[in-house]
Amino acid sequence: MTGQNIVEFDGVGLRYGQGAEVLRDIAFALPEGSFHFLTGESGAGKTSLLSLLYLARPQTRGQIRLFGYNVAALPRDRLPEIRRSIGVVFQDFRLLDHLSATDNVALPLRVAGYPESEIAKRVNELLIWVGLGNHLNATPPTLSGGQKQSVAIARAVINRPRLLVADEPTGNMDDKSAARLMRLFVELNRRGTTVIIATHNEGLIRSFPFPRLHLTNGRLGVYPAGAVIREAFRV
Amino acid sequence: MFRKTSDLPFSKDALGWFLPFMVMLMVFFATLTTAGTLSLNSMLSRWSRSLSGTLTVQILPFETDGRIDRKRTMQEAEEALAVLRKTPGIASANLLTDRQMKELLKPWIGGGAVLDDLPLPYLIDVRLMPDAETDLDMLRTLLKNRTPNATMDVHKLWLGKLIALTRRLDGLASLLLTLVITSTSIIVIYVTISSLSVHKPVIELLHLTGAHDSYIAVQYARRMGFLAFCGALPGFLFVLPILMTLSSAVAGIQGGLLAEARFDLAAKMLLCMIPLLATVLASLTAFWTVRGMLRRLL
Repeated sequence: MTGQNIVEFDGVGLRYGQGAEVLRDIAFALPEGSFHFLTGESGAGKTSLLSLLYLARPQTRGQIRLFGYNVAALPRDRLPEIRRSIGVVFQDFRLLDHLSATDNVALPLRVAGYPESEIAKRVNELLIWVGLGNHLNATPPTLSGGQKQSVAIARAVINRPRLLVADEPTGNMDDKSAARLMRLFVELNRRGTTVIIATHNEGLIRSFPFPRLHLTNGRLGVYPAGAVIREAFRV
Repeated sequence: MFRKTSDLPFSKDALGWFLPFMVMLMVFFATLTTAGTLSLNSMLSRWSRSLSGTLTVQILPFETDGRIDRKRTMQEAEEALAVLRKTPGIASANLLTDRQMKELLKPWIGGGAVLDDLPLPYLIDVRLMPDAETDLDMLRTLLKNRTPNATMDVHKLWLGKLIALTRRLDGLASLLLTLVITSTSIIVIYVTISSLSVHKPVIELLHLTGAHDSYIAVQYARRMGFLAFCGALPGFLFVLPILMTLSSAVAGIQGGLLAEARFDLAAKMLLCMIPLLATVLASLTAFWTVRGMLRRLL
């Protein structure tokens, strides 16, 4: 079900300020409709790599192409259009505490200018589906960690993105909830969304046999599903 | 179910309620200044309309052996009338009757026997033909030669001085209004920039979900407009009792000068527009400040 590449990294490097490069010579491609895990030890650069994917910052060298566009060459007012095609689940959720669960999930639709009637319908359906039907008007500070994560995931997928980027989405979940969430991602992937999930959860990786991007000290290796990552790769 | 709330948690802004207070002061001064300028100009325009093309000739009372010689004074007045009526460019020259004189002086001195005892001069009300180029200096000399006790008051002189004074006051008012507008804009810019800094993580999130700068700028424009209106309305309302008090105080002064300072419909509408203009100014300033600041981000 995979097609042309919607993500292409070529010789990409990233450094913060004048510091050393945290990502070096990153080169990979994600075909449309693919599903990948992103793994690596803490501090290996997973979150930095994802931040390049969802256009939170520009790379310091190399080229990134998203949906066929060289993003560094795009004018600033074209970036929102690209970002609307990317759903992001942040590691720290980044929910807006003053807004209800409904308004948090509605954010990407409001930003994109959808009519309120359609927003209400879609948000209600999705929140009920993720098990928050009784918490529609609850604000994030009154929700549990798992419920916040569900709101964050619902916000990421409400806009039916072409690319879903998730940073440790099952971090606060028990195995049963994590498996349920993974089934949601797989279902989205089956409907055409390209998915990349950063995780430490080896059990999850074993249960869902998808290819793996593995970061070691800022360098990336690409491995097929079920591959054993060689320690020798670590520099 | 959907709250009509902003995506940005503006209630956390420490400086948020500083803006209405400042706008209240600014609108108060702007309304007071504008009202002053409008009433001054309205007064001047009425004076100008009623006095242009007119002049007054005054015949001071003659004294013979320490007593007022009304007969001689009247002869001089008639002589002056004859001179005026023969002068080209003069449309009419009319001697004011005793009754008219008393009516004119009544608001200033009061009625009754006092006026009968005063040595009142004779006054001639002169109307000039429109566009006629009457040589007023020559007329003054001629009158002085024929009627030594006659003096001529060309209203143009003091009206001209009054116009010059009004123009200076207008300039001063414009300067004050410019200062008020600039100060309000600077305050809005300061509050907006401070708020942008407080809400940087939320703004980044909005950008990452695909928001254009204008989506965020519109939210700021609404917020600053609302805060400005919260200050502008009381600022405007506080001026009203002051204006009413001044107006009734002026109306109490008889004599036909200050009582003419009234606001027409256009002036009233302009005054009522001031709080709305302050709101629009705050909204637009916030909008363009946000656009300008966000342009520097990715």
